[in-house]
Amino acid sequence: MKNIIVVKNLGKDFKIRQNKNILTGLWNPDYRSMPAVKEVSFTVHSGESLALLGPNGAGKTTTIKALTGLIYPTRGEISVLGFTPFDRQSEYLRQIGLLMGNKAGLNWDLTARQSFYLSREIYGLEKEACDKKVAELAELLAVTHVLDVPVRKLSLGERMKLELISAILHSPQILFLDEPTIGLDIVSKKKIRHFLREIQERYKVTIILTSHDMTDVEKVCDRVIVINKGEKIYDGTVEKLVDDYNEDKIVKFYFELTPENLEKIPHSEIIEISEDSATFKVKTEHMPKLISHITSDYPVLDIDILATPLEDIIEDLFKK
Amino acid sequence: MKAWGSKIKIALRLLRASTINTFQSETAYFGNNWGNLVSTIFYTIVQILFINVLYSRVTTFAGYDKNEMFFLLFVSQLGFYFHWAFGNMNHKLLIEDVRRRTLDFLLILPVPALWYVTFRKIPLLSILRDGVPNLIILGLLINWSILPLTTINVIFAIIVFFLGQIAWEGFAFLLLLPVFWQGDSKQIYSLNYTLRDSENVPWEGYRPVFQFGLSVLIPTLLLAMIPVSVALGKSDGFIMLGFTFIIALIFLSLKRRLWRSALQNYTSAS
Repeated sequence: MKNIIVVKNLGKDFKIRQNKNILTGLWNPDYRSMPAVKEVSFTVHSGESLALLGPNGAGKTTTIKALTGLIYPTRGEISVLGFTPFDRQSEYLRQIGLLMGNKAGLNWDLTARQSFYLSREIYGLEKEACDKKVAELAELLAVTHVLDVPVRKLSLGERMKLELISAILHSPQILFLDEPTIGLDIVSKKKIRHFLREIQERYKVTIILTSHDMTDVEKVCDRVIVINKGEKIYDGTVEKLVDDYNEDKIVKFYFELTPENLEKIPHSEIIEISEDSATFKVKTEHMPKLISHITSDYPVLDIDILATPLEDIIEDLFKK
Repeated sequence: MKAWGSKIKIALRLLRASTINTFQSETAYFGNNWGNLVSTIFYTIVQILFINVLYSRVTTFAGYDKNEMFFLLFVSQLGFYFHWAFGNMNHKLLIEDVRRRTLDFLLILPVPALWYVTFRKIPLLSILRDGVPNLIILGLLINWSILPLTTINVIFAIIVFFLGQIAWEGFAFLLLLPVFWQGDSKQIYSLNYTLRDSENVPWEGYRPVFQFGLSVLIPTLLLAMIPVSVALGKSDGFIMLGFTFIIALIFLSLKRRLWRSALQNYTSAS
């Protein structure tokens, strides 16, 4: 498949002023260079959905901003859809959309429909086609009833859904999403995730997403790039990440009455215990032994083998 | 040529759309903004009183009689509202956008960013509400029939006025740019209000060194003093047109150059 994003040795340093003293600072400013992204390379092909993961300050948002042309990279090369993002060519900007979960793009004092009018003019969209698309997307996200309400009067969930419509109204080829579900309730999160999958399939949009919510990643993305301290530490599918780095398994045993002395079972750790169940965390290679040990010694009613949450896998990856 | 025509067409279409959006925003808080009208009327009355007091003791000031002084005040106020609509409001918005990192949403749009941040909000309703009553008051005070205006001088003066506005907008824009490096520039930007105060003395009232400083380095005299001097036939229209054209060009190119540099320093934020 065709690569539409090519990033080679991307690096971005931020200059941080050290001396705040007005006199010395004015005549002899002292700046410290802090690398936000040290060296990151990757490619993305058309129609892919990619998650950039990493702890706060890892460099994922900086990477997204360099891809969208918002910040100027210190080193390296970026090509998106054949354009250099920072040139901010109109032809390039027409083909991308950006949604930032922690910032408001819609005008606070206007209704979403009024803001969409400006977007329509900016992107030169046909009125009928645009109105039809707004209606279609608003219905998918269940926000038709708030299209004519001033944005300042909306809930965060409603506002984010409308921000999302605004970001894709012009049918971008690539949609950049920076923490799209931050602060939302579970229902809104589910709706947005479902919507993103839907538009990816329906409009063949390439999605680049950053999120701290692993469910966003699991539900929306096929591929993950993990960045830590400005460097790429993993690049592959979500399934491969789980397979490669999932060294632990979670095993839950159900009993009539949970027996005592379970803590003494070797090579395992009890992470939860109740009257009728006990949950163990165990290395994958020790799992058969654990099951065999417990089923032979105690009257087990049922067993659940649970996958380690993606959060835990990523956390382990960062520790390594 | 065709490409330029298309660009201008798009620019005008966007200008219309953003002006409609601004109008809709203004109506959202319209009831809250009457304070501006009170403030500007108070300012105009104080200025009228000052001119009356001044001319109770003298018949001319720097070669200007009372009627010409009112005309100067009229043009000066016209320039003030013009700059407020096409510069000041958007400058303040830009400072806030950089501070809050919401400039991202503007930079992502497929429009020339500098053009868009300069013209994105034109507060027509506020200008009508705050500017027009003042201009009517001043217009009624002037005895237009005795002003020595000629058609050619007025045409020169109008062009000089617009060039002066371009130069001043460029100058004020430079004052806001430190926000990209320092994180704030509201205090530096407020200098543009202070420096504008020097526009209430006629061009002819300044010594050459101040005429130079306040038109070339800080182009405040281009806003009203020089256009009025040209309109009244006190300065050569052709020379002043060339002069203001060069100054406007310098500030416009400085604005473009430093904007590019500022964008390279824009850090955005997560």
